[in-house]
Amino acid sequence: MVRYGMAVDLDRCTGCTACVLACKMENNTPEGASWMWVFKHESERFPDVKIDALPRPCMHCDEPPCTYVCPVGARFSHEDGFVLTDFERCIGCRYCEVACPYGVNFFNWKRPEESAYFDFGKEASQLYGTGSVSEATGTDGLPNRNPDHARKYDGRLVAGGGQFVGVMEKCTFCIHRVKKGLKPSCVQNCPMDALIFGDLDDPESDVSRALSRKKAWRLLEELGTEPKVFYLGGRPPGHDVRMLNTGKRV
Amino acid sequence: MAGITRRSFLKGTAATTGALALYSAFGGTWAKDLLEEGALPADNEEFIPTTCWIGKQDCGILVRKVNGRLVKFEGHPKHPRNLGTLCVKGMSQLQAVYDPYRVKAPLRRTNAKGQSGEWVEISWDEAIAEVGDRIRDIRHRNPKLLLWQKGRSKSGALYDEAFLDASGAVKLHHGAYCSDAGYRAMEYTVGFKGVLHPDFKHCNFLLSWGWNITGAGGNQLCWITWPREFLDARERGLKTVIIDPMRRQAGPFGEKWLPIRPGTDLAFFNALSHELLANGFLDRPYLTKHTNVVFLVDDRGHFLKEGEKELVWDLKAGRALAFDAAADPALEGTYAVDGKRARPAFELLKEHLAPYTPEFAAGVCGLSADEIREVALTLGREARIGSTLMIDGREVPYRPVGIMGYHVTQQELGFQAARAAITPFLLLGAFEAAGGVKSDMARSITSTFDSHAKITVKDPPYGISLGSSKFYPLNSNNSGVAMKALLDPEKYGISPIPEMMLIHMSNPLLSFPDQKVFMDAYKKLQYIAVIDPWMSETADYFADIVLPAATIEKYEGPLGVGTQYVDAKTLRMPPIEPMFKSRSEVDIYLDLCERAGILFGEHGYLEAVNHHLKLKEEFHLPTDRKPQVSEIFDAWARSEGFEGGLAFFRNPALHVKPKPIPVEKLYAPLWNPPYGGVRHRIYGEHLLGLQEQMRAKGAAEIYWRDHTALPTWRSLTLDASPAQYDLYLISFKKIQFKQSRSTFIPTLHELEPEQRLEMNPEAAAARGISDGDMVAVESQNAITGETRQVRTRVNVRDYIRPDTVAMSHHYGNWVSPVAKDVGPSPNQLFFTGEGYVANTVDQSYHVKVRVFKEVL
Repeated sequence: MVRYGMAVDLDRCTGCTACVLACKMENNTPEGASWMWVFKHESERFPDVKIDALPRPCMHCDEPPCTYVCPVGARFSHEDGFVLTDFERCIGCRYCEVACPYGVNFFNWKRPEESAYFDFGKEASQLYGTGSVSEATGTDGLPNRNPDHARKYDGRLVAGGGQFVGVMEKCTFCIHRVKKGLKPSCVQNCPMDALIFGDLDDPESDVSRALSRKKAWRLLEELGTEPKVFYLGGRPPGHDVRMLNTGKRV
Repeated sequence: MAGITRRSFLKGTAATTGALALYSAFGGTWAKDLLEEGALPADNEEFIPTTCWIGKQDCGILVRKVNGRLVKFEGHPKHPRNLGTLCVKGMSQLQAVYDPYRVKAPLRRTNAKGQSGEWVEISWDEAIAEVGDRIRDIRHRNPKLLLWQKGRSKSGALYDEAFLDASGAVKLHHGAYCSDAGYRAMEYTVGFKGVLHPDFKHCNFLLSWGWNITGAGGNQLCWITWPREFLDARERGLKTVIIDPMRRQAGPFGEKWLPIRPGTDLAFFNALSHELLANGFLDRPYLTKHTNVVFLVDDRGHFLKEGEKELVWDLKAGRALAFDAAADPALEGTYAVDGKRARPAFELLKEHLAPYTPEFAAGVCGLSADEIREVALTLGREARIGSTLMIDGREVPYRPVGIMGYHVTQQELGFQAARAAITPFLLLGAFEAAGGVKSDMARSITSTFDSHAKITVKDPPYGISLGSSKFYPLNSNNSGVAMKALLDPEKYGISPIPEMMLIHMSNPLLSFPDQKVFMDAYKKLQYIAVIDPWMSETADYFADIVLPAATIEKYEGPLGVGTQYVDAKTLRMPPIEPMFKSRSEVDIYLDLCERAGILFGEHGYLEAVNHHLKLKEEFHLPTDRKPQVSEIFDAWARSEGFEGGLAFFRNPALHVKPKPIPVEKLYAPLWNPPYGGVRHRIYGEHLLGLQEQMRAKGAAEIYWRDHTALPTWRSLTLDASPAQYDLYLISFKKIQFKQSRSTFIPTLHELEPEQRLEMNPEAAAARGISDGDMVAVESQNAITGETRQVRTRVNVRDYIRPDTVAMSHHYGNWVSPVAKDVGPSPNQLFFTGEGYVANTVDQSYHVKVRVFKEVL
């Protein structure tokens, strides 16, 4: 048995958001849903202003409030430390979204063909010459759909995003990659090696070694959720921080 | 905690009320056929190596392809630039491949130009015949009637060099909007083709001059490599001073922020040099042996010469001797040579810098004298003048102080500001020292070191770029100024007047200031053909015909993909056939050249390809037969000695030299001869000479005034705007949209959704403006009195100077459904032409504006 967790070294995070898109392209998340997000904020005043970045995946809590409120056992703790949604059980009640203090849940309002960034069929393709992506790729749906999402892992359908309408989705620590021996997509793609992943119970793992080198803190530790995402360096954002990115159009 | 758990990006969807959709709504999912555990079609999975297409630094990619479809791009783990990772653009460019809004087939305009295009699809045969015939006809009259404008080069030998050779077209490019002021300054001053960056491996103290550490920017490389080297150095103990009107780009990094007033950098750097001189922080042996400040200067400012050789005062002989004959050249003093006063240029430098006290610079730059002095003294101390470092058994001069500055050289005094920026490092002997300042990754002296010094100002007629003209003799090729010349050929003495244009992967209407000039000038061109994967704004308004290019799904190269410490080469390889009816640009040029009658034989495109790809003779392409594109790259690969030719680049895909660049090549003081045998031109005698020639030809002062031997501060053009224009507008790049080809990717718009005017709370409060308000921004041209206005929302932030506002370089699109309606481009506010373009015809991205709240 392992207990997967992540360390985020804020001394090396430039806030570049490569993790955000690595997650998106790996997990085919719907338009508007970013399971990994980087909050950027400033504090203090000119010219002593401070700017910080804070990558925020699912915390994969050891005491996950989201699982405790799920009425159907769809949100569950996997024995290896992942907190996951079983898409075959989820009834879309969204209790988990309310219970989670970290804002990492994303409800699928739309059917897959409506939630992608483009309409790949004929209609959208009438601009600038004839032809469509669907025709060219021989698929009706998202041409770059990751086939790994269609597999069950330990008997449950839990991987990837945007496949089903009416279910709750969030960061899975890329269980479909981890099961292949790969790192989560965000970790693998971090250009600055600011994200570190591995078995928290193995003192020789990358993540354990990173945690032994620097003092770590966790988000909303006082709530007793026991997050398995640890921040190194930086500082917890105070109440007075001013958000720099909102990720949505006004 | 409220700030951090705010799920503002969620609200858009969460606000919608609706019945709970149930599990039974699964019907029609993409995954329905694959729900069995273990059903993964692993046997149809491939990983195809290629090279990123969307950014600047050509990162290595492994494309995951399953059942013929591209599923994901990941970083190539062995690529020295990106080490198995990709930036946001590299990662998301898969959306460019499968973008239904791409131009899918050749299109011919059916309505008048100067408005949004209406199009009819035509065949490739028709399209090639139409454009090829026009190239043929115009060449018969005069090749210079054809303009060719391209965005960032990705296959320079095959596009820029071979096509221009074969067609004789006049090239316009983006350099004067990028960093070319810095390039010209370094080429002329130290003989290196590049702009300044530090030797991160050994640097201890860094001036980060407008460097966008956390999002794009940097010399040659785009984004991943520089921040990695920076962070590694920082963990080693590097300390950084940020010199930038806006801190945002530096994020949490940097021990000290000097929020300098835009455009005043020359005064700042001169003050650093002043303080170094005042405190004796001088590498006298280097200055004597390897710079031109020992050369004797007469009272007109020119070097004394004996034949071609400059004279120095030899203290040993007690007389003037040719510089290479003197045993002990004097750095200081006043001497009499042939009865006339002569002084080493170093004396003129001292005299020139005397007024540039920290107090003087503080007033100009909006900083305190103490902080400027502190930076100068830290530079002086940290430079450890006289020290050496043993690297791989070789003793290298050790000056662990550096500077990173790149696009920031695009300012009114840019060329001279870049010369001012390197001067303190030359005084310290830090150029090319271990831990010091480097300029690009070139390890040889550029031919422009000599050619810039030999420019003579000619009489009209001039080419459209105005090189060697009395206006901008030392010239970086500014497309906006070229368009101004097209609009007023008599004023600028232009002949012939171009009639046709080929625009390849460039969107000048949005990318370059200023939009109005381009709009007016393009109306004068009779025919414009555009090669682009998307309908750019330029194509939408002015293309007669659009030829659809492929994105990453094509051959391109060859690409040098090393870092400053290791060399590597690769190609861009197509992971699939071009989408829709798009084609690779090399295919398009082969066909256009064939139709235009310039493909085959002597001086044809194929001969030029052989030459510019530097193919060994045995691998030359026959010049009487049109090759496949793959054959061209196969010939190159074989000629370079890669076993298997093109197959080498399918696997292992790139060639990284097994050993890092050896120390005797990495540091120019160890070259034989040191620094390539050139003397660094702290004193720019030729620039003074250009001024004299320009004045003799009757050029107005606005053209010649910055052609001085030493970088000289003057008040900026924009400061002559009326007092109501009380804010400086600057622009900055975002990694998401750096290179306009990333404009069309929807996930990038999710990260940076719209234009905002960045404004300090003090400035906002004084104008009754709150965060998120819609405001009008109006710029004023201090020379012509023109004004321009845009509307945008405001970000009230503390990371910017109160007298400065900033807009990101991007946005302003009106065509792509993905990119339109998200605010204006600052290039609608900047001006091109006199005053806003100076020195080496480089574009300034500074203008005075007023900002006021909209009264609704």
